[in-house]
Amino acid sequence: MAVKIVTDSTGDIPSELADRYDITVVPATVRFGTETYHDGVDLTADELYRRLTAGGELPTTSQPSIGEFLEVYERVGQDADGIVSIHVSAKLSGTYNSAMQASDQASVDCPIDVVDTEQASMAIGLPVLAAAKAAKEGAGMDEVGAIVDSAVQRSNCIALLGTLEFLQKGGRIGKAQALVGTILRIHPMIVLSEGEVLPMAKPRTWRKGLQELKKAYSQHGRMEALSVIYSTERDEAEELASELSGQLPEGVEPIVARFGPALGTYVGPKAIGLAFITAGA
Amino acid sequence: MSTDASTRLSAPETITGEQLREYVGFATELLRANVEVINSLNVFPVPDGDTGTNMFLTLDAVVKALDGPGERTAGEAAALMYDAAMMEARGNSGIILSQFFKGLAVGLEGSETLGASEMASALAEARTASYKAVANPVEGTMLTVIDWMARASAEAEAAGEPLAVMLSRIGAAAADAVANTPTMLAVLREAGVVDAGGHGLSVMFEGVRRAHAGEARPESAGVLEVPEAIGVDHSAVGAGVVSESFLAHAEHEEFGYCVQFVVEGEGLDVDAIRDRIMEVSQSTVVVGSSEAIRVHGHAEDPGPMISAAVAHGQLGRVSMQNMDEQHAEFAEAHRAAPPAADDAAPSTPGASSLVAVAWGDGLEDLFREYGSSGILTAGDTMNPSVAQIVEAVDAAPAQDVIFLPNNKNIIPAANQAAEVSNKTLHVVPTRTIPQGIAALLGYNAESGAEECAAAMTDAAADVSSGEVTTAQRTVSLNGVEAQEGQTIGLLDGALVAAGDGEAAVLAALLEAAGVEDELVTLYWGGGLDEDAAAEAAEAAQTEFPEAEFEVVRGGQPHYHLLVSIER
Repeated sequence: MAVKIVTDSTGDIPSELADRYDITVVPATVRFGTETYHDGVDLTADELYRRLTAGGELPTTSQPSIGEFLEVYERVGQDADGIVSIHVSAKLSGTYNSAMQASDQASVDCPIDVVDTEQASMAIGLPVLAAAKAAKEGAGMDEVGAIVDSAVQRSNCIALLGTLEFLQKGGRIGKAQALVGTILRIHPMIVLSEGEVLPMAKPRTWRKGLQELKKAYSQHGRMEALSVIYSTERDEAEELASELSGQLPEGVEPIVARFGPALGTYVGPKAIGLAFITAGA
Repeated sequence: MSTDASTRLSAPETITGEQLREYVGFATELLRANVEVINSLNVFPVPDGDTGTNMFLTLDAVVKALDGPGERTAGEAAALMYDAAMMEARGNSGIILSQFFKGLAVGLEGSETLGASEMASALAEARTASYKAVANPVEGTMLTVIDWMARASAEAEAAGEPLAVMLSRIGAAAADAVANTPTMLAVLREAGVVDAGGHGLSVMFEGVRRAHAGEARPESAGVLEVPEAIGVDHSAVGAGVVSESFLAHAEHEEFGYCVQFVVEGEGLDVDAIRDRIMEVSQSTVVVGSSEAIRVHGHAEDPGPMISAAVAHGQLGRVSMQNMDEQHAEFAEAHRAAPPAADDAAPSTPGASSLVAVAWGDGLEDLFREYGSSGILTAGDTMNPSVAQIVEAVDAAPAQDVIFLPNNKNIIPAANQAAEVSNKTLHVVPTRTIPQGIAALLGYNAESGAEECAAAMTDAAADVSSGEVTTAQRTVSLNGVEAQEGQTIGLLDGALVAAGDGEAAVLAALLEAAGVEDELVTLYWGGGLDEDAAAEAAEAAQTEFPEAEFEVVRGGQPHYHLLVSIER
């Protein structure tokens, strides 16, 4: 018996890591018109970006249903001391809400702790990984809960987008509306803060955007964990990861991850993100 | 100085506050008559010379400050003049002129009258204040002229010369200094011109000298000859800076009306219009580009002037004055547009507001769209005064205001505005529109103003600025030969290309900038249409396949293309 970790697909955890640490990922739904897909199950990232680039109808996303969470909690809960269920910002998605309701209704004997990370992508994924590693080493419910809370508080996400178009059309733009301008082409740089998308910078060239991204990261000092997330440019992400690894402790490698279909719907092709957990006090 | 002996007898040895007002009034009138000539003394053959206009408007405000009843001492009059000069100063030359008046005010503090010794000490103070006003004082400019004037006054004082002789010596020193400016400043030498601001100061002082000597104000104060530039190979610079015919006509004394207007149209032939206007007016000045031409002339009957122009395009900013009347309307006609009040002020002020100077509807929209709460619309070639900047800044919603001058000649007035405004003004010293746009995109209303202004200053430094326009005269600069009417390209203020058509010049400009894979943004205006701008961009894309091009409507006057190059 152990503590089990559940998350949703907007955490963008690479599947081999989810497998290795026994993390259950509940997929979000991506819809193109009447075609419905499950994030990462029957719709790959490659396919999503191909369709975004080809133009035509833009997809919409929706959170996993209460039923889907119920099914997961009841299955996972059969042989668990407890479930820690860690999710995308409730201000961006109804996922947390679905999970909360499912946790009330689930007929399981163990406690279910549902966490709103106020984050997205690997800024969810990194705390999830920290929790899963502790759980795998036998940490109890309280201990895993404390690890998650601490990591979530120190978890950050900044991203440089090829265009603001997808965030805007997807209705998740929030205060980054300030970046919208029609006269000049810019590569918007955004940050997730207190669960919301905020504007950060308006670089006009990609090169300058990457510089801004690195500068913003380096200002945070020592790091506990780092992930570089890409939508279509894997080489760029790997290069950036090796460049930024210096702020990590010895032996800790940055994780290169991919914006999956659900988040990809909003960040669009070419996006590069940094998720990181700053070193604790 | 053959007139010294005769004028010495009648000219007063000390000058009262009232006389000072009269003399400066005379000087203003003389300067007014020379505005266009001074404007034409432009280093670069681009159509934005406005030194004369800036100096005139500054001086005009100085004279107006002394209007109204009441006896004043010379010291009191000088103090009032300085206050006005400081608030109304526009352009680099206006700012230095205001510092000249500061020196005068300091030198005359507590003085009842102005005599030879006060004159000498006032000029010494003016020299100190003027040099201090400039971050990096450069010789061969107005500063040199002030320096030579101060020296001449000190020598005359030491020799115990009467005031009239001292003024003659100062005037002669000023003219000498002006003639020598090209020997000190390579850029003047290359362009084959004397320093415009220096000549303006010399003209102004000549007005004071004439007034003191008791010369009657002529109906038209007269255009003075520009001292011949020393150290310039005149055969190398092609056509003279100011047309011979203009000077020949301008020497006449005229009566009637002073008529000014702007002709706007397409493919205007400046020379042809000038020839037509010249037939029906005197003191004719016709300057401009194929899209906008400024016409100035004196005529007993203004009708034929108007008729001659109306066939070529639309007339605007028509001003007609009886030459007996004074110059108030002139100032009004040249005044920059008032700051647009309350432009799209955000409902909730952030930590700071942004106010920017912009020209042209496209650029004004752009600055608004990316966060400027106020736009100071300086008209073509017009620099806003310190007072106008203060007004625009005061109208902004936040207490902390970040200001983008977007023109190197507006930076001094902006700095002066920062000193007198009740708000906290952070001047980001953008010298060009492309720099201003780079800074603009770094603006964040929520972050601290000081920190934000510093980041914006850094952002501005990251772009190169280019301009494509029409050469206003034949010139050879930086080894580039440009014929009048040719298309020319300037990169960060230096002439780098001349040729025929925007596409060729743009390509040469980008070559000079060493463009490889940069983002090149072209803001089109100055009569160029979108198709022509897009064509130039396409041609450039072929030559610079790695670079990215973006074509944006600027709507700016004079400049066919403003070019931003950033990595």
